[in-house]
Formats: sequence, structure tokens, C-alpha cells
Amino acid sequence: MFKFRFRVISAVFGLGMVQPALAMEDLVLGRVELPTVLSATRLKQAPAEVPGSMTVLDRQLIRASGARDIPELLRLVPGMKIGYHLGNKSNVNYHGTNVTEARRLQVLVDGRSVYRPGLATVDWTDIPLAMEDIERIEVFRGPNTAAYGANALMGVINIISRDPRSTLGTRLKITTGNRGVQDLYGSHGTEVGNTHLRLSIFAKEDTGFDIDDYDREFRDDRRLNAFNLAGNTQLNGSQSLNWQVGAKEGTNQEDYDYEPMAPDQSLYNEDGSVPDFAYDRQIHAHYPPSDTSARDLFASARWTNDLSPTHSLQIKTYVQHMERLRDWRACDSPVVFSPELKAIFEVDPRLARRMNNYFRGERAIEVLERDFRNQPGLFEQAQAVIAQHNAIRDIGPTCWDLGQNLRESRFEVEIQDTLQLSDSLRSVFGSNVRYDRVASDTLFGGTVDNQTLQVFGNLEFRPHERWLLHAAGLWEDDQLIGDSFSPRLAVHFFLHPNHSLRAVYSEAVRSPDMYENNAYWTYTPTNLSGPPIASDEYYALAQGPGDLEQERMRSREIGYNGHIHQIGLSIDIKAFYDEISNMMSEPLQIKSFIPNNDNFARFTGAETQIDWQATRRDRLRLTYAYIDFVATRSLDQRLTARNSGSAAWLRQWPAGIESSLIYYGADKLNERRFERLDSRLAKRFGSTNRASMEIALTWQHRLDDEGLTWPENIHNTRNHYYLSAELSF
Amino acid sequence: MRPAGILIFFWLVLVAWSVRAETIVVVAPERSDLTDEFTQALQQIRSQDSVQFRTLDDPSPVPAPSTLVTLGKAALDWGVSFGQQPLIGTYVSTSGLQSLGIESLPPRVRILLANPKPSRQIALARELIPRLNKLGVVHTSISQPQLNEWAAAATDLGLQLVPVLVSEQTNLNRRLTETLDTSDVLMAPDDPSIYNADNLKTILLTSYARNKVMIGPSAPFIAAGSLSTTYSSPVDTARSVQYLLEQPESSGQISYPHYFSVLSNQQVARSLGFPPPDDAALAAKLTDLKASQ
Repeated sequence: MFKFRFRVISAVFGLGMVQPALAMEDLVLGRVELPTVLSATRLKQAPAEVPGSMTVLDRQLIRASGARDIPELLRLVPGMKIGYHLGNKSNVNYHGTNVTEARRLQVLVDGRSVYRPGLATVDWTDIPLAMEDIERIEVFRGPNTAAYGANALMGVINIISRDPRSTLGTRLKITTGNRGVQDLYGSHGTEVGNTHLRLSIFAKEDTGFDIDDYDREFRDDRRLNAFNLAGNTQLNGSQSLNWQVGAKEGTNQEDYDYEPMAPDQSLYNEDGSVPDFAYDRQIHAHYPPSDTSARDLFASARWTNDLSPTHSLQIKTYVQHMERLRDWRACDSPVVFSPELKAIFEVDPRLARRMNNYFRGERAIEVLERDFRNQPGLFEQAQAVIAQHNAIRDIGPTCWDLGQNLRESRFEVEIQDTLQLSDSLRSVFGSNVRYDRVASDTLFGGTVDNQTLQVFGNLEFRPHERWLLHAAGLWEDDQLIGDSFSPRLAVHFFLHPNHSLRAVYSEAVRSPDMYENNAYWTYTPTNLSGPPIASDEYYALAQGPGDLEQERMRSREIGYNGHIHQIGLSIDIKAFYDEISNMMSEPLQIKSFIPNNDNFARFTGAETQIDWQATRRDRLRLTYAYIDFVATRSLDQRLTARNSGSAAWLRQWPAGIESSLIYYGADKLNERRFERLDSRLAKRFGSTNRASMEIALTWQHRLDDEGLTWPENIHNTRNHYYLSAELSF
Repeated sequence: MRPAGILIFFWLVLVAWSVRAETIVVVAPERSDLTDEFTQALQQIRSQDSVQFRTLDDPSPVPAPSTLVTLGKAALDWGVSFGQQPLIGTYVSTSGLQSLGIESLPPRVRILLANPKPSRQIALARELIPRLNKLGVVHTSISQPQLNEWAAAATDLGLQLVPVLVSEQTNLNRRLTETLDTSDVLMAPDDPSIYNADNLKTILLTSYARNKVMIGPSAPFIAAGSLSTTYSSPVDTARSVQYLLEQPESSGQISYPHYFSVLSNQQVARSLGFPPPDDAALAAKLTDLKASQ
């Protein structure tokens, strides 16, 4: 029988607790009301109700993967293709397309787009957010322009940082391993008045790939320092402000990034010999690095006002600035500044390319003459260029400072209104204004500005407990491109509240980026040395046509999502038929810059992800994607692995030990097999309440001996390991 | 003789009536839908008696009751010092009793607690959450005395209680996250210094962000975003008062209502992938569980 001992109040409240004004009696008797915290507008959609396919990488998975970078984590997403251009430059594509560019995914960090407007790419290594501060990553697999605007063509990656309210205290972490891994992380979370804050400072370093396919040292190290200050301020019971500022600076190494018109012939000779001319010797010896110095800074704020449990208003804004500064000295034959070569390039850039083949020693003069046979009189110009080059071969190359600096700034404001009109009808409406500016003398001949206006809406209607209908649309007006409308329709049929069948049709667009459409890329000779030049105009000019159209995606998807609560099993299966038309697939180099909308790609296939909390201690997770594709441009045919997937086993052992074993496989990533087994073993010491320490060893073992994405991306050993120690107090 | 016979008849009826009929006075700080519902339910159950409702500030003299039923802490406080008749205090919580600071209750007073019975809450959590093992309980010194009962109830069901003491309000967030990291569910005890309007947002949002749910501490928290709780509706409480009146007075001074219901937040359940809770079936199942023990 229940026993109760009465105590004197003073004894009970002796520990500094204030006597509560709100007693349970008052609540139960209805004299005081509580705010609705998890209101209809705050609750997230149940997995079975999402109008598409979603993969959520939660903190447990993120930790268990041991990943130091986000792209490595994304291998856990079915259909995601992770490629490496350099050790410090990865690209992430969903289903495929171009192997060197990742232009068709939108990436958001706490609602802030880190998709670079100028070059339409994502610099994963430069995001000022530590892995340790990521709460979860939500990947919407499929087009989502209807909700996120142009560029969410093939999917959206939403990176969500940890709420400062749940990261109070201090954490220090150090990681060290082979391949030059040297990471530091420190964060401190505290409460000041009605604000919870977290300051994180981190540094990362590694040496990337070890050797290239010529057995040369691979210059792709990276080093970065960053900080991130995140806050959550409760303005009152219904209003809150989430804000964040962050900055990153670092260096991403890269080899000499200039391809001379008359290059070092030893690279092309069979015997590897350097011709005995001053020019050739100097060109051979001139191999300076062209590292990128990268700086990112941003400030963002999100104000949420819960007007009622069924109505919420949100305004978010951010400003960000990215700098990629590269300065190095280029050397070439002075013919690159000759009017004759410029004339040839202007007639047909491919003929200038043939000249390059000639100077490499790959093309005999007779063959070159044949290349020019359709352009009467032009071959004389070519001969003049060759004569000019031969005249300086005993003197040496012309050298100048080549700066390829790029500064990108963005400002965005968005207002969003979420309203639960009734139990069966929910709406989201909003508008977004964005301003982008890129500045680069070399790439854009100055600055290019753009403004974008979006208006979007989303309706969710449940006419019957077994049916759910979604309709969404986004209208966008892009100053440089024009306007577009992207709709999405989805219908769910519920076999059971947690088991649904879905059919989704969506249209999406990708706007040509400023580089594709508005580039004005040429080199200006400053600080010249060597033989004199005939003019100060570089022969090649890569100019964006300015009238490119948007790429268009039509996507059809059917799927099943189910969650069997009693045994902790979640399954998602989808079959898709996606077509991209108006596709821009040409590689955009200064010597060959012909962007167009001429290409097409189709992806069909099926994917699944299964997540099973098999026992209290064991979690099993499987992903698999089968993708069949057609792409008119060969460059778009390489990144798609027909079969890819992952299998993970996470286990919690007694005594604070955790282990994970994850297999990743893809049969052809850029024509190369990729198979890797990752394992992580962690042990936690110390009590939960005060201080604790965790030691973790991550070990990645490549099961194949291919280069990673490219043949030259080679490591000396198949094993990559790093050890980390984390102290929390 | 006829008038005398009638008089005798009425006298007999009156005697019989006075023996059978009682006056139950229900006292609450103020009148509300809840007090009306309770009073009506009690009147229906005890149709032969007179159930009268009055507020604390009613200046009219209190009719001599055979039993006093108080609603809430203030009414109990008043009732303890009023008269010598049996008193049943309802809508009083464990922490509320504590804060009254009464050294000991007179033997004529019996209490029906408003806070849910820990064993029912734990059994409810076990019904809702598969593979439940660790029950996190964030508490202060106020609810410390309740922990033994929570721990015993957990042990009875083969579960493990993870109590985490919050000694300073400023530590609440850290203790909360630790608890969520190490347990499967957040069980809210009767502790108004933590589970109140000020902290609720933090508690519910933090747990929701980790896909963890809270059980309890009482019915009003369900609309706010707690997943589920057992509670006694006004009708349950009225029936429990009746149940208590039928029990011998030695059956214990402080007890939980015999009758209870279950209330769940369907939206929260759906959003987190729980099957939609069937509150009536859950209540019936918990009652059966108790009966079979």
C-alpha cells in the first residue's frame, strides 16, 4: 500500500528550487493552460506521408560511420554517387550525370543554401560546420524544385545542426591518423539569459591522395580552420530566434592549373625526354602550385512565431560570402597573345586545339594542314604562329601572373506561413527573394549580379484516412534566365497508418549557373617576363552565351514506405523514371567553352532502404539502388553505377563499447569498381553526469585496388585509419 | 386514528430516509465544467444521497455533511480544519500534499491522488514503446520521495529506472539530454518545478528532436505534446470516490483513483511513426493487467 511521508516545505525546497507557481492541481482543474509545444505546424511529417523518398541519416549513424566529411556519409544514401576530383574536392551526385561537376543537387545547411551560385557546385570541404555539430542529414531523393526552387533538380540535402539547447557543456576532440589526418574540435555550450549558445572551433588537415598514376606525389592536401557560433533565443512563449554565424579559412592544394599551348613535350614523348631548347627546359621546370585559399563567412537568422497551435509564421534570412583565391604564375609561348592565334580561335576553337596537338608533338604538320583545309587562308596564320614559336624556342617562355580569384556573395530572405486549416487540410505558402553576385576579373571579366524571386505553395489534403493528396508548386523569376513554374503532385494510399503506397509526379528545373551562361573567361598579362608579346589579349575567350535555357526534369515515382513499430523495422522502396531534357553537359574549359542545351538523360530503376533495430543493441541497415540510364553525352554516362548500396551493422556492447561495420559497394563509379569496408570501435569511459571520455578507432579498408573515381586518385595503402579521443564535461 | 396513522407513516418514512440518505458536500475553489461534471457523476452514482456543490468562498453556512469531498489543494486545506466528518480529498497531487506542509493527516481524511500511478504509467509506456528497457526520470528533490515507488514499479515489470536529479534549474537542459541519450522514454513524475509551462517547450522539443517521447505527467500535458498518460476523468474520479466510500476506512489513507482512462496525442504518435494509440483499448488492457496481477 502506498505510503507517504509529510515533510516541511523548507526541507524540500532547500536546494534552491523555487516553489512552483504551477501546481498539478491547477492544471488538472483547468485553472492554468499549457502552451501547445508540439503543434500541428511544428510536427514533422511521418515517413509514410512524405511526398517522395527520404533518407534520414541520424546522429547514431553519423557517429557510427566515423566519417570526417559529409560526402563520405552520403554513401549511406541509396542512389548517391560520391566521386573525388582531388582528395580535397569531392562531388556528390544523385543517380549520376557529370563526374567532375555536381550541379544538380541543392544543399542546405540549416536552411542556408551552400550551392555556389557562380560555379554551381558545392565545396563540401569548405562548409563551416563541424561533423560533431550535425544532428541529422535529411536527403530528399528526387526532384524538389516545387519546395526548394531551381537547382533542387535531382534532390535536396538538408544538413541540420544540433540545437544549442542540447549541447551544453564543453567537448574537446582530437583525431589523428594516416594520410595526414589531424583534426581538432572544441565546443562550449552555455545559457545566457533566454539564449542558448554554442561556440565551436575546429581544424582539419589531411594529405588527400598519395600518388598519381605517374607515381608522382599528389598535391591535394587540405588544411582548414573554422568556427561556428549558434544560438537559440526564446523571445517569448511563442516566438523564437535561431541564429548562426560562422567562418572558415583554409588552403586546398592543387597542382599547376594551366595548360600551355606549347607544353612540356616530355609528357607526350614516348621516351619522356625534354627537347634541348631553353623554352622546353624552362617550361618543363615551371610547375608551381595553384592552391586555392578558401574563405567562407556567413550569418543567418530564423524567426519563428507560433501564432497559434495551427498557425505559424517563419522568416529566415542569411548573408554569405565565399572567396576562392588562386594566384600563380603561368608560362607559355608568347604566341598565346598573338593576333593570328586569336583569329584561328575565333574561327573555330577546335582548330586552336589542333595547334595545341601540334605543339605537343602529337600531330604532324601535314595532318595539321588537313585540319585547316576547310578554312582558306587560315593555315598561313597557323604557319605564322608556328614560326613565332620557333623564333623564341632558344630564348624561353613568356610568363605572367595568373589570378583566378572568385568572390561570391549571396543574400536571401524568405517568409513562410504554415497553416493547419482543419484536421484534414494543411497549407504552406511563402515567398523568397535572393540576390547573388559573383566577382572575378579572370572568369567573369568583372562582376555579374542576379536576382531571384520565388513564390511557393503546398497543400496537403486528407479526404479519407486512407488517402492523402499533396499538391505543390513554385514559381520562380530569375533575372538572368527568366521565369519558370515547377509543380508536384503526389498521392498516398494507406494500407495501414504506418504503411503507405505513393505515386509522385514532379517537374523540376535547374537554372544555368552564372559561369555557364555569363562567363567572360580570359587571361590578362600582368607582370610579364620573357620574350615580348604582340598584343595583350589572350587568344582564348570563353564567353557564356547568355541565352541558355533551364534544364528540365520530369520525374515519375511509385513507392512504398512502411514502419513496423513492434519490431523496429522501416522499409522504403521506390521505382523511378526520371528524364532530364535541355541538359547542359559540355565540359567548360577556357579553350573549349560551348555550353548548350542539347543533351538528354534518362534514369530508370529502383532503390530500397531498410533500417531495422533488430534488438535493443543491434541496428541493421541496408541500402541498394539499381539504375539504368541513357545519356546522350558520354561524359554523363560514367558516374552512374548500375548497382550500388551499403550494409551496416551497429552494435552497443556492455561497458560503454560501441562497434559498427559498414560495407559500401558500387560496381562502376566513373568506370571503376568501389568497395570498402569501414569499421569503428569506440569505448566510453566515465560517468554520464559529470565528465566522460570516448576513444574511437575508425578503420576503412578498400576491398578493390582501383583509383578512387579517377585512375590517378591512388593511396599507398588500402587501409585508412584514425584514432580520436573526445572529452566531454 | 387516521391522521395519527398518517403521521406515524411519515415519521417512519422520515426515519428510514434519514438513515439511508446522506448529504455529500463537494467543495472546490471555484465552479468549472470539471467540477460540474464531477458533481453530476457523483450524484448519479449516489442517487439516493444529496450531493451538494459549493465553492470555497461561498459565505452561506455549510450544511452538516455526512461526507465532505474536496477538489484541489486549497479545498483540502480548508476541509482538514472544518468539522469532524469523513473527508475525501480529490485532485490533490503528491507534490501538492507535500507543499501543504501538514505534518500528518487526521484519520478521517482520505486522499485520492491526482497524479497518475507510476505502475500504470510504466505499464502504459511498455504497451506503447517496443523493447522498452530504460525509463528516464528527470526529477528534483520535490519528486525524490516518489522515486522508490517508480523504481519498484519498474522492477515489477522487469524494467530499469534511470533517475536523473536536477539540482539547479540551469542544469535542466544538460540533465535532460543525458537522460534522453541513455534511456528509451522520458517518464514524467509529479514535479511541477520541472514539468511546467516554462520548461515544457525545451523538454518536448529536445525529446522530439531525438525521436523520444514523454509519458505523463498528467492529462493537460498531452495536448502540449506529451505522447500519452493515464489519468482520471471527472467520472473516473467520482466512481473512485464511490469505490473508496465502499472500502473500510482502514484500507489506507492515500491512494490512487481506482478508475482511470488513457489519453494520447494522436498527432505526435503519427509523426513519430507510432501506430495510432487506441486509448480505450489501452485503458482496458492496463486494467486487465492490474486485475491479473
